[in-house]
Amino acid sequence: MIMDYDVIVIGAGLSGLIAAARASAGGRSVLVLARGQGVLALTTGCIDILGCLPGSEGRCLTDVAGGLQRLAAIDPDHPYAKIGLDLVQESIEFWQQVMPAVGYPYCGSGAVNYLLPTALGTVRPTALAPATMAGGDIRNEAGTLVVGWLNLLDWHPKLIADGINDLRNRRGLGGAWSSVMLDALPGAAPELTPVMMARFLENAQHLELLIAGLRKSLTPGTGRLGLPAVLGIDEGAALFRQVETRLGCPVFEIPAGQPTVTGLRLAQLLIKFLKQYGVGFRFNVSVLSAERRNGAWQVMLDLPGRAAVVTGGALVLATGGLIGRGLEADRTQIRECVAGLPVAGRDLPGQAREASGWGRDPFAMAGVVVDGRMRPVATDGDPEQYRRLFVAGSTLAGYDPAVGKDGLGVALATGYVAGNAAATEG
Amino acid sequence: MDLPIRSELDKCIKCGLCTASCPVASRTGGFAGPKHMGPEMTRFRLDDRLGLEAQIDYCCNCRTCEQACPSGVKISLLNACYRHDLHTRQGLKLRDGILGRPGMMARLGSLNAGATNYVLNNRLVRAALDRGLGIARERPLPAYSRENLKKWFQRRRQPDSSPNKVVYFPGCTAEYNLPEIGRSVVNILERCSYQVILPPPNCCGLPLAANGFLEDAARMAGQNLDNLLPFVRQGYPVIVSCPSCGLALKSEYEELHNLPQARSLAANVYDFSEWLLTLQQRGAPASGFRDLALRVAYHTPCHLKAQGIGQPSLEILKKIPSLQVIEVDEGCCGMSGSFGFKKEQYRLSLEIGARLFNRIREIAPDLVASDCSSCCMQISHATGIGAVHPAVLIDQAYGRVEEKK
Repeated sequence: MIMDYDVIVIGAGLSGLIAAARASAGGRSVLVLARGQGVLALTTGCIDILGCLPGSEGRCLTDVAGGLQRLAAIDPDHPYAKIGLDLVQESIEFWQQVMPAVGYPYCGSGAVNYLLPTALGTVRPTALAPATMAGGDIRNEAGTLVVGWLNLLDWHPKLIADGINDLRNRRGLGGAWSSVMLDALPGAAPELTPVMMARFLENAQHLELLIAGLRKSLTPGTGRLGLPAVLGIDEGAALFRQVETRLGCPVFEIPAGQPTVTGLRLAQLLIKFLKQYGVGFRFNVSVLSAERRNGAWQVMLDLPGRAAVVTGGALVLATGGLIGRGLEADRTQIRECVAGLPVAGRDLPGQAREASGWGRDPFAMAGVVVDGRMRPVATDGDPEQYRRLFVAGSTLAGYDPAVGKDGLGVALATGYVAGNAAATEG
Repeated sequence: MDLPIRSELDKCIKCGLCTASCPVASRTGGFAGPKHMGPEMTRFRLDDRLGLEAQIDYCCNCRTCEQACPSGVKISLLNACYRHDLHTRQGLKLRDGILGRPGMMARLGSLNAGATNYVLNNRLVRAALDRGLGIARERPLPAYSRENLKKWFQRRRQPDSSPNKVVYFPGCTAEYNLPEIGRSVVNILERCSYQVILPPPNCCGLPLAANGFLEDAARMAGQNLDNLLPFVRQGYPVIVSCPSCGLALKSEYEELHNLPQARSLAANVYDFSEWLLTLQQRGAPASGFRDLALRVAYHTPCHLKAQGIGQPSLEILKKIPSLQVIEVDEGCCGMSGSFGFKKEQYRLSLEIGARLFNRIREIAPDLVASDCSSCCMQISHATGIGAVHPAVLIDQAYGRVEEKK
């Protein structure tokens, strides 16, 4: 039978995009189907591999490599444990190969965490950070100035400096953080969201005004400048480099607001790169169902007024969890929406939900159970019905990204393995 | 309302404690409670101090927001209804009525196309249109063709009748302004052994809806349903070459105008390239392409993206030997049909498309290809590089030379 594509990926979040990248790198023709833009733009774009071990009461992890080994030993149902740590490492290397070509390079080996400041003055452990953010590690003892503008919404430099100073004092670190609030950016709207400000700064003249204002606020004691993540969207890290070079002072971005400039950058640049690389995309299309028939996956699309079929040799489900609506919950059950896969923990909604501060949420833990190659583990029926089907990202069971701080890390690793399997397994 | 009272609204964080404590709401379902009746409803009753109401005209109806929304909210439909409501209250603009009726204007303008084009290019006329009506004088107006598509279709020798029939809905541009698009589409469909049926020329109604004339748009939609449904009932597909017409026929007739039977039309409407690509995938004469030594930049129109059919034209163009096609992928061109004609929006429309134009200048192609004539118009205006509908290139690749008159 003639197939439209070798591999069809449903979902344009990080796991779907990585699966598509990997399958395409394996020489396969790939189509990505997406309902909306994907919620990658709502993340910071940091690849959190592992920030916290289960049962550690929310303690921040710095040794990621050691943490992963510990996790694999105590939690065999976690996606990392299933994949195996070698493949997790391989997915990190794949990421570090791809991102410079995308025009949005990342820093980090994946073995240790950066401790980066958040817009609330707390700390976020992350293993792979965009180059524009990696310079903000709170353990760096350079004198740090956090800058704000009066017309930028949801950005409070003093809150950040105070919060980080508090954390640094407790760790006994030198080099205080200070803050400055600059006048409203001339020519900009009286109230700017970070995304609006980023668009504003994509104009070269506006960027000049920003650089001039920043230069005035530098003092001899300023070792580095902390800015909200507003340095353009479409140009990747280019405006960041420009600002840093022109000021002659290290700069780092702190993601702020929703959607986040750094998340938008990642989503848009990655999609654009994959398109140039030959991956096909169909946005604004809902998938009604997917079925294996005559040795191929038939994906039914909901077009205006009618359904249409697209066929593929292999299928990657990267449709998201309850938030991305790859999983759907009613009062009695959680179900997987596209292929009707069995869901572990599906009977949750009827039960009382355990409430524990640091405990993993059973709704987050519910999902599709897979083997180490991201193939669904069939509990009933004909195993042939799931042949060449691979599942990645938050559709999977067995992890809670709010607790483990491993959301995009699991998306990367499982997307990589699913894309690899879809490209190679017969 | 005084501003201090207005600021009360922003204090409310929608927690619902007031309603939970309200003695009346706790006894009757007939009162929605303080949160609902107070801050929420007051917001709806506010006079327009922020000046946001009139901003609705800056929604260019491109549908990009709907494609971004992960929850499938039909934002453009909400805006279309609101625009209608506002303009009905405040009085509709003559200018918007003219821009909303490209078909009617074209029927008038085509009576003597040469004279109309001459007059519309006159600087004094353009100054008057600018000042009197608010149509930007810098914006080139589309010229009317001396021979519209229908006349050409009737004039030429009809090919032999085929059992395979398709209906072609050309829309206003391919009918009156750029009938070469329509001629190419007809040629290609006939080459694929279809007999082409042209319904009576009529606007799809989308420009009316985009300018706030919902009733008129719905009437237009009703006429098109009357014209097209008899063919649909006989099993003939309806082909459109304009992405905005496609969007109107496929989704607006049902979602915006709520017309009965709109769904059975929608189920049978195909974009021209969507249809051709399907034919080619089923083995239609894709192999018949000859060399076309051109460097072409392809731009995907927003209204094609909104249809969720991918980029069929791009896929077809890639199959033409010697044709180097580069996807531009820099988002909306800013024209959005009538949006870029409006005096107050002309500059903005060029700013919206600036990245796209820069990228096209970088690529420096021989030609730009885009399915939407409005995008083509904007891109040519901004870059000075010619822009054509992909059907024209595909037609050439199939070996056709434009006839001389």
